[in-house]
Amino acid sequence: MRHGRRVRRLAFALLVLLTAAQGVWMAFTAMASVPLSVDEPPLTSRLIERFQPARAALAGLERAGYLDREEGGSPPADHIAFCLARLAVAPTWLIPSADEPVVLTNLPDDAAVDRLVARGEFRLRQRIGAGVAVLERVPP
Amino acid sequence: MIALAALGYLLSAATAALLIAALWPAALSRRDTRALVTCLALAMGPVAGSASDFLRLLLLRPVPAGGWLLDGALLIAAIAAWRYRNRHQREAQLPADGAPLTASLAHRTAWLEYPVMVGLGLALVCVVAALVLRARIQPDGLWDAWAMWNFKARFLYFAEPNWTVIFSAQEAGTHPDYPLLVPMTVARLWRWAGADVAWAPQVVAGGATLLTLLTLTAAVTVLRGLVLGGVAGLTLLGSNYFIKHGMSQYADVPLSLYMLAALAVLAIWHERDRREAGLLVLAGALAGSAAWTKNEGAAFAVWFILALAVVSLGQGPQQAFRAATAAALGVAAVAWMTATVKLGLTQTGTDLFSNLSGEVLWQRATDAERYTRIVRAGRAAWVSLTHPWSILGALALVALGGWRRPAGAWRALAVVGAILALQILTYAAVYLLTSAQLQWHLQTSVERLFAQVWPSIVLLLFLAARPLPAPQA
Repeated sequence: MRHGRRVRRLAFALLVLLTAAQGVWMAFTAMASVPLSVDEPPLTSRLIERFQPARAALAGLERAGYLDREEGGSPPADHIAFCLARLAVAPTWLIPSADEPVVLTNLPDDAAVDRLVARGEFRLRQRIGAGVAVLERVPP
Repeated sequence: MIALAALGYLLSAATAALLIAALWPAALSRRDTRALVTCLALAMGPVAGSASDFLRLLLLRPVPAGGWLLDGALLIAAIAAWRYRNRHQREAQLPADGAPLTASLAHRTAWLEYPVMVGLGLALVCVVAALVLRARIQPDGLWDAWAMWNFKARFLYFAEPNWTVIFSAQEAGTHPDYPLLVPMTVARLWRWAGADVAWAPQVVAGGATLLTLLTLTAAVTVLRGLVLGGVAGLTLLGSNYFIKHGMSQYADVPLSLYMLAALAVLAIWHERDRREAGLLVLAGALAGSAAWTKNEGAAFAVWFILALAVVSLGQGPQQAFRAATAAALGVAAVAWMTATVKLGLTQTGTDLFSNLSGEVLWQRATDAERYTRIVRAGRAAWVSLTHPWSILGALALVALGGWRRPAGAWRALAVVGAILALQILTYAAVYLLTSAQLQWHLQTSVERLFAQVWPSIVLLLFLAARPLPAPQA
């Protein structure tokens, strides 16, 4: 009995040490698997730089496989345009889809917001910060 | 900027800490529970902060100092609750119902604590480095982070007077019905920092990942001792995906944190502190926090109360009713925000079950092919995302422990196992009935669902584990 208990204690200690060592190794591989050099800008910048204006963006997104309408489950094209348009990291204005009544801009400055409003498609609902504003689409 | 944001976070964490101390006063007088209470306070801080912000948006938006008023009021209420419990400490000073299962063996396994803790320390350094490096290569997170979670945070921060736009039917693509804990936490950090700094969502994501690891370690330490606590933390790292997904800035890892914490507190109530009803309220509040994080958390909160009631029936119907009521009270204390979003603010329902007639429902429920594909996808995710040794090591530790356990340990195992099983079955049922194309739905979500339950599965494994029996046993 005593011998059996000793063997089980040894097995317990071995298991603890092996499982712990495995965890440390996995943590190390989690760290080591991250690329150290950033070859390309972040996803958002990549998309925005590559796909302007929005109409081109949609076609480009489809070509890049982000919009696989054949699969039937991917987000609709307008949703992507809408996301990009609303994204405050967007460096320039992206035209949202026609059915978006309210949009948030992130333009370089207030003058850019005013220029956009002057085009007549949108009216200013609220100015939030430099280049950041909530606009409403003017009904046709 | 960073100091102000840290101050805002610490203010809400202090509120949470005081409320936890009021619900579980005995925890602060015991050395082995202090680390867990610290983790729980840090995890509940964003919940307290978002409650204050949500109330401010609903009620006090025109009041310029509304944020300060509510933060202060919550803190004062927490201080009052804590002082009230401190005055009635007699029951709190009673010893715990059951000592940890490891107590009789502490002298036999104490030497293992050093290598395990050194290993955990090394692993923590690697995990922090991995999180920082990932934040560097994907500062905006992955798709859903910038298209949905942080997108909503931007509206909460930039367009505050128009914040309800995020619930508009026009925003259907961003799931207006989703709970708001993550976006509100990010927006709160931005508000305190004074700008929409990129590091705020990164801190929320990395913090939740690290806290999950630490909460698991601390909880298993309370229940099974330091050696198995450390090994449990290291077993969590048996899935690299969990760390990788942690920096995606999605809500899955924060959800996994609240699910894990709720189950851990529930297990502690069953095994050690059955006389402390406040623990059940705390566990319920953590389950409610899961419901305030993601829709899957709402299902979790329901299963949490139901399973607790059913397992407690063994102690009599009165005890079952009391336990379920205490847990439901805790759930309601947080999940009222989810209910407000879903029933009062959102103009659209979930898109998962659109156009679901009885005929379609029957067709999908009786389609054997759908069952096969769901099981295959789940199995493939499990095999690809975990390292076999992590699971085998934990299972071998369970087998070595034998089957003798106090009744409380069996009850904890039963209730945690039942809640997890029901949660996984809920995922399967959603896949079975989803209106989306099944293959696409599985491909885009099954790994994230794995991340939601993985920490709780590790907890369950270590609840089953038990060190070797005492020499004279």
